[in-house]
Amino acid sequence: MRGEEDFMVTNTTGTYNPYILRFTGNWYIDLSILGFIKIMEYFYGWNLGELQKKLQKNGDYVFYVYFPVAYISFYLERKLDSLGIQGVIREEKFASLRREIKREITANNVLEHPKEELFEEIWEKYIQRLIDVSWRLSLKLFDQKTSKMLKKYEHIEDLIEQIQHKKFKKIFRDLKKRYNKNKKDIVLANLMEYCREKFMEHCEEEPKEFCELIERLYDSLEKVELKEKKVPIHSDYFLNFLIFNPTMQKYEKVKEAFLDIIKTNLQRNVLRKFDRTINKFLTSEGKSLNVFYTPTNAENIYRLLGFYPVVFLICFEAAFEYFRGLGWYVFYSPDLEFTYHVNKKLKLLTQQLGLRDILRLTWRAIIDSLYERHAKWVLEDMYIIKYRSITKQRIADVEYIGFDKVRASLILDDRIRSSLNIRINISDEEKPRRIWLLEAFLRGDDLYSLVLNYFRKKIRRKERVDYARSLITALAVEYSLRQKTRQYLRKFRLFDQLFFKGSFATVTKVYEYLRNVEYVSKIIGNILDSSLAEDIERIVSLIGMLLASVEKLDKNSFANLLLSELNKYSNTLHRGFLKKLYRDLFADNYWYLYALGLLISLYRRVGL
Amino acid sequence: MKRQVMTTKNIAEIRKSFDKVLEIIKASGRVSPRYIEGLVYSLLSAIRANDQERFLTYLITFLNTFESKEVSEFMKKIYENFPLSEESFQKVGYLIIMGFMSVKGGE
Repeated sequence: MRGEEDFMVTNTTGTYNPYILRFTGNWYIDLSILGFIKIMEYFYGWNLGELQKKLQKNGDYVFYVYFPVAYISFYLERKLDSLGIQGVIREEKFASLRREIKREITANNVLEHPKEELFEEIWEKYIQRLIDVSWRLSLKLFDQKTSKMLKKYEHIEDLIEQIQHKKFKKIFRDLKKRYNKNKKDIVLANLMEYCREKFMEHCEEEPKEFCELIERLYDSLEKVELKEKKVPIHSDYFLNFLIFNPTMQKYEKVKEAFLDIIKTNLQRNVLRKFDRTINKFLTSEGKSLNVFYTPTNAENIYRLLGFYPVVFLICFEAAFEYFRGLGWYVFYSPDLEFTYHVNKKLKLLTQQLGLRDILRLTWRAIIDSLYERHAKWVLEDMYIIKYRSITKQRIADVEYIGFDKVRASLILDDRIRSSLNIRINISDEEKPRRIWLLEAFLRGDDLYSLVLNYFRKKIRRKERVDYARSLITALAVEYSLRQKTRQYLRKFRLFDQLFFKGSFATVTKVYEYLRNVEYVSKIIGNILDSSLAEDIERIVSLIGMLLASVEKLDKNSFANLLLSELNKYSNTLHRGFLKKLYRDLFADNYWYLYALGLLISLYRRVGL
Repeated sequence: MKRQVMTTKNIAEIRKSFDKVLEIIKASGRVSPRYIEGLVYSLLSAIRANDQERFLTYLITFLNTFESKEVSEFMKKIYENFPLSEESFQKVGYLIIMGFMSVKGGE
């Protein structure tokens, strides 16, 4: 552990530690940071908190040691994915090696070197091995059949070792020399002969399969011999950017370029200009928009981020998650932790529930995350970003899913949110049409008409109303929203008192509505109960008539019906109750919202 | 004749003076609940038909039995504002009806 401390002392000065990941407000850079986190999580399994801790403890070490291994490994796997190399072979060859390296690298043996030598050592020690394995995998050297055969002849390990590895070169060369011919058939025939000789030392029989095996091995090894060794990483997104450029992909060159990226070597032209050379989505340097009031080149981004800017930028693609049949998606909001959690949840949900509607799932992920974290301002600015196809280097779709302050404040209230989190069937026919109230609310649909439809259907069929409480809450929300818009229309001034504090009043409005409806319906319900005794039919028909006048928005007939019914029993009426009834039902502009809430709660009391 | 739309201020004024009238009715103690029940029915039917004349007739007939300064002041205010637009009429009408209902009931 001493080494780690030394490393810190030599590399960080003062107590201020700048290595804290945070969002900048520019979505491209922010998603790059998210990509960085995802890559680190993929390799080391650290979540955001753990990564932040590591960065604070020893930031440089993360960038020079942990990051390169994870990054190269990530893109090697992408390449293997694209080649369709899956299953047992990959598990045996690549994944096990990856885990082994992870164990070694995180096992606290912190190396004591200056940064660049550290990088060198890591490259030699670990990355080389990863590249070697995936290079051979990418050539399909170990296809399933060959590896099966190889297993069969385990007792002649030496020979296979020879053939597989470098010694084969020697054998090959020897054979070539001996016969001085370059034709494949002859070489192969001789190779077989040679192998047979070796083989006969171990076994007496000569199985046919063995010859076939040799042939296969020869074929694949010939590929290795003919081709120059490369680093098989590939990204459709960064097409020709430095390390992804096929002509650059020699060991040494990739290493050099990678070091430049980490060091942010601005002498290098490609790194200085952060523009179309990286991705066509960006503007060219000369044309760059006025985003930061300066050209978007690396120097300026460096100033914005503070540390290792290019490291993050080359992670951009990793932020996106592939959803089968839909494409590449990512959820973005201007808060790092919130974005991180929602994306994680989104992935989990798609695995659990299967994929139906990306927007709906995103909402669920957001709602779930909201239960855990309260981040109000984030709610006002959220996006789902979609890539139709990454090869085109083009963003296909950016769906904005934010909403205004008022809605944000409403949805943050636990009781309101859980009340709205129901599905109601509003279809008249056999085929159900289920509406998720929360989604309808967030999309700005009219909750009143949804609830009305549902309730009308229930009354007609004389069915029991489920979630009466939730329905009334939905009406309350609609009520407060409509009042809000009225207020805004009347006296809206940007950044005045109403703009900042107005949203708080909305929630209290909702509860006021709920209280009023509860109070009024309790008294009326008591009267109806005592007067109409058990005559449920009559109460229901009265509710039906009242509902008809609500539907017609006929305040007069509603009030008339209700009052003439109440008039008979008014000996028991409280004065405060009548005042409330007058204020809410007959003097309010949105009386029908109150009326419907009242009817639902009355209907519920009947106990149908 | 021009029909007036009442402002909230006007309604508040009417409500204020009507409260005083209600107190007088209550204090007199000579009005039977049965009578008020019938009166409320008549007033309700007048509102339903938007018949302002009939509404006023019922109201004046009833209030005529009380001799008091407050009552005449209230009637004056009502008279100044009538005839009303339908919406305002409903507002004032229900205000009065529910006031009567509250007198009948126990506090």
